[in-house]
Amino acid sequence: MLPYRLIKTYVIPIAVTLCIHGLLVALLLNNWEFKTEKNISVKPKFIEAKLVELKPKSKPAEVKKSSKIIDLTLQKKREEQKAREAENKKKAAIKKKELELKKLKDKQKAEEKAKQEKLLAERERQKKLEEQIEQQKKAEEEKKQLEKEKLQLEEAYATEAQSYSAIIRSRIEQNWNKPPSARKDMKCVLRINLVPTGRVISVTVLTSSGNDAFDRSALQAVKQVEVFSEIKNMSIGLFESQFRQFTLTFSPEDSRL
Amino acid sequence: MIVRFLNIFIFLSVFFSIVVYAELNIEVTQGVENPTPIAIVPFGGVLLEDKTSLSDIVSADLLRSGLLQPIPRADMLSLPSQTSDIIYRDWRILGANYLLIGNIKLEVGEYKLTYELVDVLAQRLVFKKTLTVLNSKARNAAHQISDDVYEAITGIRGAFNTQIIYVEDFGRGDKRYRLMKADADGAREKVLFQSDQPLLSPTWSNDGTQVAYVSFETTRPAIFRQNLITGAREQLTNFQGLNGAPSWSPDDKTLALVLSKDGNPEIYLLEIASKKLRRLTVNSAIDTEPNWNNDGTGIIFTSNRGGSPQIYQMGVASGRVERLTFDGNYNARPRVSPDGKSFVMVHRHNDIFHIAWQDIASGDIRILTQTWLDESPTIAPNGALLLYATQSNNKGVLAAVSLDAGVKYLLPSKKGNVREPAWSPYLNQ
Repeated sequence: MLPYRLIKTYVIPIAVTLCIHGLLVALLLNNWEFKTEKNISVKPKFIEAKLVELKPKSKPAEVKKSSKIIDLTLQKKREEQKAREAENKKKAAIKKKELELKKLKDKQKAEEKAKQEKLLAERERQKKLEEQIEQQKKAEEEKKQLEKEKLQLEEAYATEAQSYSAIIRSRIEQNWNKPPSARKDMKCVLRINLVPTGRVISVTVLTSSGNDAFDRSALQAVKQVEVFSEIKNMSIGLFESQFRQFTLTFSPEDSRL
Repeated sequence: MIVRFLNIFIFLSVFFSIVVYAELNIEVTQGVENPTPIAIVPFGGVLLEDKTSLSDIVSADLLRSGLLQPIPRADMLSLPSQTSDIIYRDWRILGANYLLIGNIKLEVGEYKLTYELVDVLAQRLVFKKTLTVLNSKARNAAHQISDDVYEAITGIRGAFNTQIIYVEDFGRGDKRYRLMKADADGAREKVLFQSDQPLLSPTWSNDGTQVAYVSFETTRPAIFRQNLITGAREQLTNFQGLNGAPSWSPDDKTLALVLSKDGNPEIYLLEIASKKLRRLTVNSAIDTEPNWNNDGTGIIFTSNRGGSPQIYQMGVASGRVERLTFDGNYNARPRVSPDGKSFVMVHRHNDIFHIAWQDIASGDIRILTQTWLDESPTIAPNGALLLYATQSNNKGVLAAVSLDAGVKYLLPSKKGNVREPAWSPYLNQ
């Protein structure tokens, strides 16, 4: 009798604790859902960042277009924010109701919420698709423009590359202690890797001359220079296309023997 | 048809220039002729018994080569004796491309040497070697180290561990003529033979164990050979008239020499073991100063058969003669280079005697020295340097010049007048 009575007296506390635990779990679940939503909302930001990156490459005439798109995305962002705020309010309400009503109703609300979210997500997706199509069109235009520019750039690069090659050659020649065993038919090819400051980060022998002393003198000539300080004034496009990695061929012309 | 091909060619070349994007290549063809800076750190461990510094000898050797520039010891921030102690940044700041460090250990009657050559710019070991030498041969060890360093950096075998012989004339007194032997740097002189009468034309055998020379000790010129290990001497010729200019065949079995017993100077071959004599040249002109080419098939010599002294080559078996020099009206005293592709000689140009170098195949001549009385050139076994006799302060001295004329130096002056140097072959020491 006594244990039963004991249980009876504890029924209410147990029920209360269970309720509180249930609530906690529900709250936690809700909070977690809330967070995942945030994660999804990061996506539009990413797209925006991409567009900003493209902007400097396009011509001033097109800047207006792209700025419009930025506006659109901003609007969209605001809408989303509003939607989120609304949802937050709703959720707050739901939470209150949850305290009063119980698990059955809770399920119904969750389903409704899911439906709403789905609708929102679909709308967003459609918007994104439209945007993407627009972007593609624009990208194609830009591509054509870029190709034109590229050709012009390549021409400019060619002359620029020549003068930088001459600078590099003379810097190396000043530092090349050609060994006396060097002969006219010897040839040593090195591969050089630079960083945009002009610093040499690696030198490797691609083709050996067959003469260790000759190869070593070539390697030392490059290592002695250490930094081609003139390189840092080079346009980054030219640097990336030709000077980040290039080869150096050492072949003595004025060998005395 | 041609136009069509041209069109195709142009199209293809344009096409490929666009499609095939080749990595940028920069070609370097000119280099500086500056000597390579090297830091030679005093070796760690014990000192040598005679207190000479091994690294000083190495420094002097490498400096003399003209191709390496030792960094002054006073500038060194640290004196490492093992690679783990090297602070590369310090050596880089000093401008050293290479670093030589080493250690000396004393064992019973011997030095045990460890030495390492380090590429400072690549921060990498080029070689690490050990050497064990008798206490008395520490100098040889130093020259051996110089040889190893020189070869690693220049790609040319070193010739620091070789010797020279020469005739020293004291001008008066007993035994005023001396046949001397010394290290290639002029150190450790030793008298091989001394005489009241002139000594001439000393020459090394190709195995480096004996020398031949002309001595007037019997009142007329005679050719002698002398063993450098035992000191034993043997008179090889005693003909009437001139007996001179001996030259060892590559196998050291035959001497080419000049005899005037038949009227005028002619070149003969003397088989040393059998003393069999064979006359090579037959004509009314002077044929002298024979020198074997490096495979023993021919002899290069001086002859005035064309009116002025010029250099000729003769096949030993065929007897066929070919004139080699055509520049100037005086070319004499040829010495064939170790690779047999060229020879050095005394060449008169604008009435001044120079040492000149000539490529046999092309006939190209390069004048190496500028003073007015240069004579008796002799080439180092590595073919990179040659030694010759010249005048300095009215005294006969020895001077050296590199075969590319980039390096010149005088050997330390001796008491007497020094003449007729001969550089040894590579020696096993």
